[in-house]
Amino acid sequence: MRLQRILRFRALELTAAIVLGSLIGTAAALTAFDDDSPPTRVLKQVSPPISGRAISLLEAWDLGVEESATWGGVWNATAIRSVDVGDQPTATSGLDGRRFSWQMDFVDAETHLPRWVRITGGAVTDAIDPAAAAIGKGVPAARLARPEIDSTYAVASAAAYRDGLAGSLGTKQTGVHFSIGDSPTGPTTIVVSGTFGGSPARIGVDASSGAVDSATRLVGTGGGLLLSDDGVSWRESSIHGRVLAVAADESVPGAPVYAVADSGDSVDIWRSDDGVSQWLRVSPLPSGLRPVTNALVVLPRSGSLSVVLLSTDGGIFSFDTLSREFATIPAAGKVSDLGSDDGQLLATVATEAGPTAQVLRPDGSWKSLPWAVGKSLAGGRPADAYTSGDAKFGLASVMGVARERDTMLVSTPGGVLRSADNGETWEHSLARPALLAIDYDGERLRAVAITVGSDDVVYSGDAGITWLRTETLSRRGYSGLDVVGHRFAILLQGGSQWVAY
Amino acid sequence: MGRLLTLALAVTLAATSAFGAVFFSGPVSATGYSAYSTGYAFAAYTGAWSSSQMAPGQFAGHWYHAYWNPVTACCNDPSAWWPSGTWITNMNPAPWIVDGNGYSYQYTAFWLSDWGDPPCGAGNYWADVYFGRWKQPPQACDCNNATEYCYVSYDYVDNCQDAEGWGYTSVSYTGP
Repeated sequence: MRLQRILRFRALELTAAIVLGSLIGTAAALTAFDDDSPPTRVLKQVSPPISGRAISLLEAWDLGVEESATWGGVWNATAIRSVDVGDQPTATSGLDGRRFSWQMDFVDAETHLPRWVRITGGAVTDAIDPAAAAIGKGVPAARLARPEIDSTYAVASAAAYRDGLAGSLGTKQTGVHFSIGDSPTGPTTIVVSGTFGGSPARIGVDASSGAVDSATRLVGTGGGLLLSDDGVSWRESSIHGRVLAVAADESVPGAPVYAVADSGDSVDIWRSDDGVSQWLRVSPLPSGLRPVTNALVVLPRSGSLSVVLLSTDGGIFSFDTLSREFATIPAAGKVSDLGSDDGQLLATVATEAGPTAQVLRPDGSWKSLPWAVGKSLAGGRPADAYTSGDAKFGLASVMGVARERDTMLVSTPGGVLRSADNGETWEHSLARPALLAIDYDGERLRAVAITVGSDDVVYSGDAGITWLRTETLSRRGYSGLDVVGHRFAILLQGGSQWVAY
Repeated sequence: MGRLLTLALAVTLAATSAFGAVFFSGPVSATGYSAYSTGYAFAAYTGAWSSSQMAPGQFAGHWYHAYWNPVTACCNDPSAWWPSGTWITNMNPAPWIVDGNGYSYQYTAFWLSDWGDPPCGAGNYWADVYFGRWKQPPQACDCNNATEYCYVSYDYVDNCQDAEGWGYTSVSYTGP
């Protein structure tokens, strides 16, 4: 899946083209902006046969090679694949090893130029030169040998490997598909694509022996939150994707909880109205902001909810879920982190003088602060507060801050330090650096930390004086720790990956 | 700073969605389109709609979610319904794409194998052209994708830079 567009102004485009052109010593990049490119050369274009039928891979192969023989010269087959175009496939299409539409790629052994052939309904219907010209002295792609087994055998072999192979439905690749060429399993393998157990699956079948040499399927690793009311016992609440932020209106008991999660396909806002048991997907976010490294949920005002996001490029964006307006928040430099304090947006901004903490004014301008800003920062203190007493650590070494009333917990590379007098004096609290969260439940200050490296979740009921290990995250990915509605929340990562089965 | 400006442009465009497709008569059983094209490189090994490796000559378009209820296509972009393997031809201007041997091809045709732009900010008939996965030895395998696979070339090839150079380009092409 495509995640991020790469965009440029035309002026930058031209600059890049000139630089690239000088680097590679060809006119290629400069010509990229020629608005008078030659048309695609169509070699063949006919209608599919009226009584068209699905055919096997080898039948399609032979038709394609036969077509290439009419071109003159030596044409090497480099890939063949079944496709959905020209077809009206169902979930069972291809389960017998036959498909209605195939595409085959060739390369001229002398000129290295490619040609494509499409076979539809049992006949060659289209052939084109996709590349109009070529410059250089490269070597053509490896020539494929005609497979010794057919797709009818390959699909039977794949189905026999594990009972449960089925065709996909509801995608642009419907049914079971076949391909040989540049595939994850190599050029001598027929890849059979479908589903297994409801997940997309690919089975590699050796094109000579017919044996299955690989089988992978796309498995979701899940995402969501680990939640705890008491900081000791934890329960999981699932959201699809990597959770970037979670928040609730703390002034309203039982208010909905909002989360922002990156599923890999989209960045979505989720809402839970039942105490974080079930989640409703509220809205996907617009493009131009991915990949996102940090998110901040700004709670409802006049029925509207804003989400502030930070991209890997250091830009900040906001999205209003009611008006669906999307806006850039200009900053004085590259932003590396976000935070909030009493509804104000805080950011760590890279400037020529080094990283600075800044707060966004109502008029849209930024004001520098002498504070550190961390993701969990719920306020700030002058930098000299962090360097008082025996605990010497500078602003740059602050990895995270949690603050409630007069108690502050600060994570540094050497461990976590604690102050009970608003930063006047400090004492060591944890030996390792950690993600930090602190909450006042009306009776006492409670804290949770995730120690970096060991990934232990520890709880303190006395504001960081003593700690109790309650959980380990050593086998789980996590991206943050927060407090929402007096609950501690660990933000879990999620996504999908291909795994062998 | 350039990257920030880049994103700012993306944001502006995404917010307005002001660029619609212009239709005009085309060849038999084909239609001409004016749209925006972007480029990408490295990325996942295979496209979402193909089990073969992403390679020059392939492109990504908008999505539809048949598994959502109701079935929705990306912001009503008609091209979101094009099936895998769809060819688009006569792209003008046509990008030059360099392979791992330093051999440059001017591709005027592409086939649909992948998808992108989940929130549909790039306008109707948007085509994201794949530039390849070749880079020079010192370069990081990083081209702004979540999943990246790269090959090293000693022939001064940098498909990521090529994709950046292609930028956000207004093109015309022929499609279904």
